[in-house]
Amino acid sequence: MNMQFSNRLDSVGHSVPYAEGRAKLHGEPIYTFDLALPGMLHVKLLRSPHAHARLVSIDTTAAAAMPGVRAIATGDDVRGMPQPKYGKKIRDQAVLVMDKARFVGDIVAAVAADSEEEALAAVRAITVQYDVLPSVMTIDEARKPGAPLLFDEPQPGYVTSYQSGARSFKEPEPNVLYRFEIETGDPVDDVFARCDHIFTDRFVTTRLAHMCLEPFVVLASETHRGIEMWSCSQYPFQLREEISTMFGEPEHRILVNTAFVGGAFGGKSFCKLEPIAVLMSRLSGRPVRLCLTMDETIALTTKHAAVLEIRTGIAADGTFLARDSRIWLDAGAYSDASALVADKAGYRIPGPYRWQAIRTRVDCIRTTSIPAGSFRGFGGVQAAFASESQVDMIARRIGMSPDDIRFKNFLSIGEEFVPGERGLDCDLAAGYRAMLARNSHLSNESSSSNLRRGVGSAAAFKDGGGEPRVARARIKITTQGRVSISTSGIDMGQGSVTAMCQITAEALRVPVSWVSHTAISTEHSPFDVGTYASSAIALIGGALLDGAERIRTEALDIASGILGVPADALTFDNDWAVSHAGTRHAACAGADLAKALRRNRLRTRRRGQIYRAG
Amino acid sequence: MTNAVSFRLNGKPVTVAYETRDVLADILADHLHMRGIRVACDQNVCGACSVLCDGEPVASCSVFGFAAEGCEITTLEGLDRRIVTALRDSFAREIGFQCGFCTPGMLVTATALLLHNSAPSRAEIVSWMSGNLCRCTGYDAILTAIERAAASLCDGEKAA
Repeated sequence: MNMQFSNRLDSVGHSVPYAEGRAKLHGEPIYTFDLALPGMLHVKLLRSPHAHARLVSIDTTAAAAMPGVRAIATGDDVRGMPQPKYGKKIRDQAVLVMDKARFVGDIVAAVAADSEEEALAAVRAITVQYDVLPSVMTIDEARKPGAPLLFDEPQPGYVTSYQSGARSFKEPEPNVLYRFEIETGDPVDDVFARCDHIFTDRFVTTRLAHMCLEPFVVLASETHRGIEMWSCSQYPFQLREEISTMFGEPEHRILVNTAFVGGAFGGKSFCKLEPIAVLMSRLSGRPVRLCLTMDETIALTTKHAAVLEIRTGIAADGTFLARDSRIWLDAGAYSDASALVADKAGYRIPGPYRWQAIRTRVDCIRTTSIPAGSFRGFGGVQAAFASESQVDMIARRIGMSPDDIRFKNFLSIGEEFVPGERGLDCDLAAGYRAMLARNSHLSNESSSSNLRRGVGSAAAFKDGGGEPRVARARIKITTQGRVSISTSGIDMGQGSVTAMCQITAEALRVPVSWVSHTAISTEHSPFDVGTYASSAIALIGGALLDGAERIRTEALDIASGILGVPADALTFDNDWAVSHAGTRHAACAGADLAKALRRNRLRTRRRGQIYRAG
Repeated sequence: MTNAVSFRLNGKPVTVAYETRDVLADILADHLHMRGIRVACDQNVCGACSVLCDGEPVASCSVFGFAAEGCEITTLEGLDRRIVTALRDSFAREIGFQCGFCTPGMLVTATALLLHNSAPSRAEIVSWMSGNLCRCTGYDAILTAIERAAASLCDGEKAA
């Protein structure tokens, strides 16, 4: 193998300048929010003032006659679409309300006009008659027998089959959108029968708003060339697929461009209101911009509020034996990514501990409130909060220190957290011990009458993005030996572009300033499922390493031809030089090498590709 | 209804025709093409649209166009060069930004602070910057960047 990394890392592990830092400090980046297209219209939305109401009638006549108004859409314009509904796994959210509004803010109509002001004025001129229905605002209300139903009929969708004792169900009960169950280990009830202590505790978490400073915004233009979008989405390729399905336009005629993203935190994932923008462009024949206000962005999606009941059985010495968990997630009115969030919460609730038996059921409950979806941690945070709180409570109840009970039960490196899944890839006990040592100077304090400091420790685990994922990257070498990389890892501020440049620079042994990352579009960038689960650098970085390795191999082949020595007698040196028998050949291998690589065009555009199981 | 407003922008007089409903942010971003003025919350909460009005930071989303009449307006482009350069260097070093959407507003407000007070305490920085929200970074890197920029400016003065 030619891949030899020098022990001296020049880029990775060093504090290199943030790739777009100077531009950001000069206010230069162009976010989707900043974009405008010639002849662009602005879209404003009419939203339901009721949490639950059947639409009786909508009158848009007066609005349509108002100045600047180019198109108005209601549920009637949506009904004829090849697929008028979206949602991950379960499609229950219509582009515009077709039958009834299911939360305050549900979108009943859209107006495209020359200016935002004219669009807003026309929205106000639309009259709607509602038949108001009883609302269902909490998990507990929605679970009551006879609770008002959000949906009268099953919604289109599917569930995936799982391994290792896990199962999922679509709409198993009234107001239950989705259920995830997992049961592993010995028979759960038998293990509980052997426990010395059994503790049952209930935890409640609230909703949260993502609050990215760049509001949700999308530009769309449908022409005879197809559909082009400028999107702040974390998932441009999934968005392309969704728009293709919904509008019946093949993917090769849909182009999603990604500009700078002003924060996302999960709030700009999957399909959101992009179909409205496409629809309004289709109806008006003009490019449109749909930019939500901050209030509307808060009403777009939230974190799942949750109720978690955990029954944990342990031995007298503090050894964990069995955990039986019930989790209810408040999915809000529509599916969004709830099914996926439920899976994560279900897998994470046992925590990073060894159990003899695990039984978990997660129900996503429909309520007449804002749809909940991805939010940093994706169900894992709710689960970790409840799991770790109970670990502390149990330790105190049996007179053990919360840290000791964790050390006693941590999974070891390589150990599976459920049978059949990949084992843990880190030494949790060592990490926890290091964390305690680092924080040993902290203690509970009450420095003044109204100020207290409490110190606590907790442990949690997460995966790198779930199911086996594909990562791709493309590396191009310019005639000057500089490097241009293309990936579809969306940098929402987390610095992934900087990291990808560092990884590439390190692998090709060139300065990091020689590497840049191209803009992202579904037409030119390599496919990626989406940027989520803090996994972009690990996965796409791997693809870059793979591509860089092939370039190095090829460079040595070329240098071998130039120098007349076998490739395996050469080593890859800094700045495209090669070394042979202790001599550095910069002249033959410097820019010449890069040019030779470039001439062999087909071979130089190396696409790294790796498959990693989550 | 179209009106006209005259003020000084980054030291130069300007007169702009604007609609009555336009706020200063609209005038600066849409009519005068100033960079980094982005209306995020639109309710004087987040500070992303901060500019200086007669040296004081204001949320330009919440200042009507007519209120700028006769004022000295300073945007990111017109900030005191010595101070904003020190801040930029310091923000870059401390990574006092991530997505960058709030960054121009942060630099505007921090420059105003250092014009008023060349050696602010950490508590004074916290208090002064409380009108600028950042969702990505957390505030520690931002506050440290301002603290270090102030220190480097003071050192520079002593050396000179």
